Amino acid sequence: MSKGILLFAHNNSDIDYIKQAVFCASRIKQFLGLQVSLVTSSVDYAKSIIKDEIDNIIEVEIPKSNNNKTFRDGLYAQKKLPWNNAGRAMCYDLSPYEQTIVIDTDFIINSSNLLKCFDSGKNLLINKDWVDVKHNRVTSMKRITDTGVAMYWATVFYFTKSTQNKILFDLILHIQENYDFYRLKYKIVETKFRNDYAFSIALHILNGFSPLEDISIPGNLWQTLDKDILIDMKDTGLLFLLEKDSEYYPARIKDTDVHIMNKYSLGRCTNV
Amino acid sequence: MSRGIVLVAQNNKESNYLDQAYALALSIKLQSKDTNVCLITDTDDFKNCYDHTVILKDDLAKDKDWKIQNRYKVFEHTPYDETIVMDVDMLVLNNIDHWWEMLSTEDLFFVTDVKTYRNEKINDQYYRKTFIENNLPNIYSGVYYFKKNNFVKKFFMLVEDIMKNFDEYNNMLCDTTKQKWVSYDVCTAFACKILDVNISNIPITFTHMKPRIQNWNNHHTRWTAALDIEFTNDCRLYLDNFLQKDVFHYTEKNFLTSTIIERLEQCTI
Repeated sequence: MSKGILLFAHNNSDIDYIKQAVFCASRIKQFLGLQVSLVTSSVDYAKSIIKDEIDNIIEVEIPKSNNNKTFRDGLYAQKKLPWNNAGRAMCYDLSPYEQTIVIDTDFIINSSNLLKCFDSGKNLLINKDWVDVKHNRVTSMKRITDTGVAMYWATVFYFTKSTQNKILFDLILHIQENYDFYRLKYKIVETKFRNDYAFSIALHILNGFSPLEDISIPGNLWQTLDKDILIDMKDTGLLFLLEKDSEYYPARIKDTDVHIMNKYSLGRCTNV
Repeated sequence: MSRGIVLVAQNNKESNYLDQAYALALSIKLQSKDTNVCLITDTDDFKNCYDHTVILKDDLAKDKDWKIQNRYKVFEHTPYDETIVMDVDMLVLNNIDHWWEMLSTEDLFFVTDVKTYRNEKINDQYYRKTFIENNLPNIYSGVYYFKKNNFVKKFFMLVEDIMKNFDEYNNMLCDTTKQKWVSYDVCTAFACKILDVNISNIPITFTHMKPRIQNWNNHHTRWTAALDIEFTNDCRLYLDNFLQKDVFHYTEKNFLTSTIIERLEQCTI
């Protein structure tokens, strides 16, 4: 069975997701030793900066989206930018692997933890929860609304090529294409499309409109917030300034995969 | 051995419990047409879809608004050797025939675990303080089962005595957080405690829709105002896109609309 990682990268005016992807791929090679495929609309630019980190570039058109999102750089800087997050539904058809892990490019691999997915015996793994690296600041959304279905986080997920997963990703695409309907049906207040919501709704529907058993990726999904600042990276150690109540606290994390919400600080630390 | 489900329903000025019983009976028949259903009531003016009906002769609830005073009489009036009793503000949404086999080893059984509409086990004790603080068996009389035998007869005789002398038992068995009105849940819990009835943990449950125990962050006084309700033409029930299964205890009478009853009739007949 072929195994590999699929990354999606579509740049906007400020965030160079392709450079993030190249950095992410270098960590994948170092810690997981897996093949990496990059899905992007900027093939020429990608080729110009890739050395040997990425094995396969898959060209797609930039997804049609009117999504905008506020990107923060710590407490004191923020900017509203286009957010091209609409390609995930295609990952089943795009992936060249029989067993695929899809990772956000701002997810820093610091361990071999994700390799456990391949031995799980499951067709699909996706986290139902995430953990704040500075505990007790915010609690992870457990549900897409207070009265609604369980929230699943599409930051990192694992799938095999199977009929069931083909149906799942087709359904996610259908939800994406009819997002206004599903947003109202599931009482989601936020108007911008989010993969997390589309995945959560699709998983609920495919399980017979019933709650699923836990299909989380082994280990915790650690996350920093966009008000936090990544200061330094050395080997598997990450140095942060973590914000709480407008104060910053230094913290070091080692040997742990972490999702970095402050893309600007990630760019500075990885020199991308 | 005969088996059947017994429903006790008497209308009052505000609520049509006979309509609720009728809808429940239709939902039972829809899931399992051969299941016996018996109605115990105080009138002959009801829509009949039952296998057996019993008209109460000595109506202890005649002058009461909340008519629970006759509920202990199920033992005396049930036509079955094995009886499941259900609150009438329920619907059966899946076949529950397997319950009989699960219950066959028991003389008396009460549900002890209930769940939310999202199929989560309810641990919230908001409505159960009397039970927890007074160390009473945490039972729900919304669904219970009994066999006709001498032990169960003794149990129901005690329940009758408790219901007729509630204040005395309440003072004797509750030190704190006393129930202020006669509740069948509490009366049966008193009887279980006095007779030291061992309630098995058979995994029979129902969805309990009291709003405080739905694991919501925001408080809603009525779940019917908080959730989207969809009762389909083929009698499937969705609450905020969650398909409801097994036994559904809706608790709020405005849930049961004429449309739901009509759809149950169309599917059953």
